[in-house]
Amino acid sequence: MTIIPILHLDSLSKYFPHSPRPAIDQLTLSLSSGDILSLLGPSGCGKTTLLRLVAGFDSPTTGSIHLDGRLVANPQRLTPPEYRNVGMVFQDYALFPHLNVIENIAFGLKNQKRQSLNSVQIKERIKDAIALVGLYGLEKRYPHQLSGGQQQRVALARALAPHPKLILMDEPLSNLDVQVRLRLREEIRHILKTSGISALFVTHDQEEALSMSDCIAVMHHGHLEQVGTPEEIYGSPASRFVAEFVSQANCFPTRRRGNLWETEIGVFPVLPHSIHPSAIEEGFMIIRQEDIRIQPDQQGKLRIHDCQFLGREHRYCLLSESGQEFHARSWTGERLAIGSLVKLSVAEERIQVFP
Amino acid sequence: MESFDGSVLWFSLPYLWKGLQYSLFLTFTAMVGGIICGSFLAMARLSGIRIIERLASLYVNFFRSIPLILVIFWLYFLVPLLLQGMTKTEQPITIGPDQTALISFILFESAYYCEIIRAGIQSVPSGQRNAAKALGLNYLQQMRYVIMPQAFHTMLPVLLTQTIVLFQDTSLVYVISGTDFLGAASKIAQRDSRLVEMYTFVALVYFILCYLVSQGVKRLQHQPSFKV
Repeated sequence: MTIIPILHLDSLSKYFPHSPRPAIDQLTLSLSSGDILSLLGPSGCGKTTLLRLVAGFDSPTTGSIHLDGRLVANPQRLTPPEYRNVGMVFQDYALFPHLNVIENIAFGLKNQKRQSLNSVQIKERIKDAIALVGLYGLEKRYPHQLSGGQQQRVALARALAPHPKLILMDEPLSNLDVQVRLRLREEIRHILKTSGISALFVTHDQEEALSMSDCIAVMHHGHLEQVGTPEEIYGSPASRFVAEFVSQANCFPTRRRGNLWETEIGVFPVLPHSIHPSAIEEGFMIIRQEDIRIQPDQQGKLRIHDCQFLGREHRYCLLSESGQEFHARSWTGERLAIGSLVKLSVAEERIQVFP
Repeated sequence: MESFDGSVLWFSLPYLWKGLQYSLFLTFTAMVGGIICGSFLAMARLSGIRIIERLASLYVNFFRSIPLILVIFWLYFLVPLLLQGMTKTEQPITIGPDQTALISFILFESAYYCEIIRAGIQSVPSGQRNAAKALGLNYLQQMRYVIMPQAFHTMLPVLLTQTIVLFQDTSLVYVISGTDFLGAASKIAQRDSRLVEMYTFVALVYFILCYLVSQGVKRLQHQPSFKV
């Protein structure tokens, strides 16, 4: 038995008029039923365009989109968004300002003839959705009477109430303050897992992607850099871009000398499987911030340029002799003085080299 | 000039009242008809289907480029001749003054209402329509349940202002001997040679009615609109 993925994109490309470079470039991707997939990338990488293609607001230039085994888009055929049965949560929520919470949530239920729900079932669905997102007592409020976090919950409930098989979220947490964002991250994941709905989640925040998803697709200039579990993406990045973007690692130009790799902050051995591809003679060494330990040393060649206290640890900004800035997250107990000299030690087994 | 005689007003009030009723009837019917036709025209202009957009904008630009009085004349004097030519009858097929007035006003005003409604529709953020699409609504449902209720709220003051203009314009039916408020006053003024009294009184009533409504519009504009 083969399991049909809930969403399958096949060599999808999207060119916009008057732009020679594709916004989406030959992209192939599958999402298994019940999974949360994050599209992660810097702004302008095409992730929102991809989401709009899946939703049906844009049509692909080449390639096809299958939803739950059903062809919904290729260059010849386009199923409009209203017939795709996909839930969507927008960055600005797009709640209907003239309707209260209940009416907003009921909206997708009343107008779906296919589902042919009677009024008792509709009330039941609304009650479930309100319970799921925790909006008790706010049923009669209008969107402008709600906080940002509450509006986001309404948007989520509205998208969930018609029981779509797939829900699309376009940076749903980016307009919220940090505490609300952290809480909603957990809640959204819990809600999606409880209801068994698959989700495609667009974000530019690597922490959000790592903490919420079952699977992450890192996008860069319209193509996929890497697809994998959060652990794979973080632990074994497939390219220098993924390493720098996802773990915000330091990057140093490097050259091979025998079994060692030379950089301006020192010479390090690198495990053979951490060199991609293994034959290269020079490239860039990727060292994550938490893999660098620093110690005060009057003979050291590195100078502390700045220091931020993050609670559990300090994040130091260091200057090499040539003036390159790099960062280290280090638990040094006392804060080391800015301007003082340090030496460093690196978790060598975790260094990676990319061309 | 003779002295101002108010009693002529008192005796002609019932007749003037009938005229005013006719003016208000014309205004109201043309407003309802104009808004309905204007809504469809606006949707046509925003339909995204090129030929429909072109036809609708041709209609709107045509009626916004000619004087209303010309529309009335055309419908009253020329269309009967046209109809006669087309049907090859002996007599011109006349359209009564009431029907002429009503049809002209609806034809003419729907062009203006269309532009107001189009601006109102465009003032609703496109995210609203996308959200409605994602929830499975077709075009007419999107318009009826999401776009129009919000657009109507923003365009209500402008629609009412246009209706004030329409109310003033109804006095043009006088050119085809329609007995609206001004027409009624004019007939009495001519009959009794009481031009000063009648025209002053009519001006006063027009002023009071339009001023009151425009004040109402002002209050509407200061009402808080929906916030997101």
